[in-house]
Amino acid sequence: MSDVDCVLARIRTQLKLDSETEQEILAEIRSHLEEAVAQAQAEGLDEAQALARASARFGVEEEVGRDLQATHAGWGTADAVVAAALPVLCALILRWLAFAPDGTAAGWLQVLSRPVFWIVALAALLLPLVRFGRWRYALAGWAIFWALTVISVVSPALRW
Amino acid sequence: MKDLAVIETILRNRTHFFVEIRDGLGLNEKMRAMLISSLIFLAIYGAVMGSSASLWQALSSAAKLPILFMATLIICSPTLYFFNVLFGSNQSLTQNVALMLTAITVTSVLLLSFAPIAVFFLLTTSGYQFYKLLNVAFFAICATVGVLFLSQGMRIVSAAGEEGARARRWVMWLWVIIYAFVGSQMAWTLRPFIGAPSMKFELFRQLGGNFYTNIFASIGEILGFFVVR
Repeated sequence: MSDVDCVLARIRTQLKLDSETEQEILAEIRSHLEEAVAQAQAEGLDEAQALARASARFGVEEEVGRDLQATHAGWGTADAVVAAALPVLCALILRWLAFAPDGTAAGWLQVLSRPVFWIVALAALLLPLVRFGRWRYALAGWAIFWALTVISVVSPALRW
Repeated sequence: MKDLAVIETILRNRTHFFVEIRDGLGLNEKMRAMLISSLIFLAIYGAVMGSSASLWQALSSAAKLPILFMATLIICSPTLYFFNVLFGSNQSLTQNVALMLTAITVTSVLLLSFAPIAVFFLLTTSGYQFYKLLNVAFFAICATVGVLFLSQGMRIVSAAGEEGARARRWVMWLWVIIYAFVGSQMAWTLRPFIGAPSMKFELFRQLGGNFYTNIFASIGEILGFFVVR
């Protein structure tokens, strides 16, 4: 195990995130560390000194790990919560805003003239797009549910 | 995000979470996070349940489902606390409530994870009885997992006092049965949550019958034995 790997392993002991996020964070730290080590070596320090200086710039490994944990904790759950809740809420909004309470498309054209429909629809569209990278599953689910809502209203016979 | 970090800790690192409850670390922050998250998740699932009938039913169920869980928690928490104390537990009432909230939080997160499936069946089926039983099944699964979390939490939190540990485990399981009965009766009292298609919207329905006979009647109708009116 290289010295950089040892530093990363110590940071990792403080992380309790999903493995994908952990790998992303550690890869970023590795690239910064290696860059700093290379720079220090170019200034004439040997490898051990260069790594010590680079590590010192980041701080004590355990503290760095704890800070990273505090910064990133909850994002994995937020992704899952958004992926479950956003499509559901958007589908319900469409169901109750665009269609009559009995689920038929009666009066559906008048709905298009209501500003509130467009405000909600745009908000529902833009919200996932702002953080598209993290919320891609929510966006996919949202598209499926809107399509299903429209299909179930246009062709009620398809419902079981 | 801090609230969701608490949920992530419960799901990923539960032993550490229960040890912190045992040591009384950050109890108020944890309880606040669990309470807020549970209320939001339960409200979303309530809206999904009520959406099969009408917009008013959706709004009503979104408000009633969190009330159902919190009212049941408030009613049942002194029983668990006093029986635990009687059998040698050194936990405070707040620690007991934190453990129960953990179970409710796990249940509500799992219910939220079932929400897309419930919406899928809401959009693609029209059978009221089927939708009702589907939701009962989801609740049963989520509540079972929540109770298992509570059991594990109780074991870890009361590990310090070995005296009466066996009796406290029995108390916990008996309490779970009481909690389930109180919860189902509370659900029956606060009904409707889904809203029968043949009936007008009502905030609360006239009392009568009970939860279990209604579920058996729904199963009977699904299997074709009779029609529920």
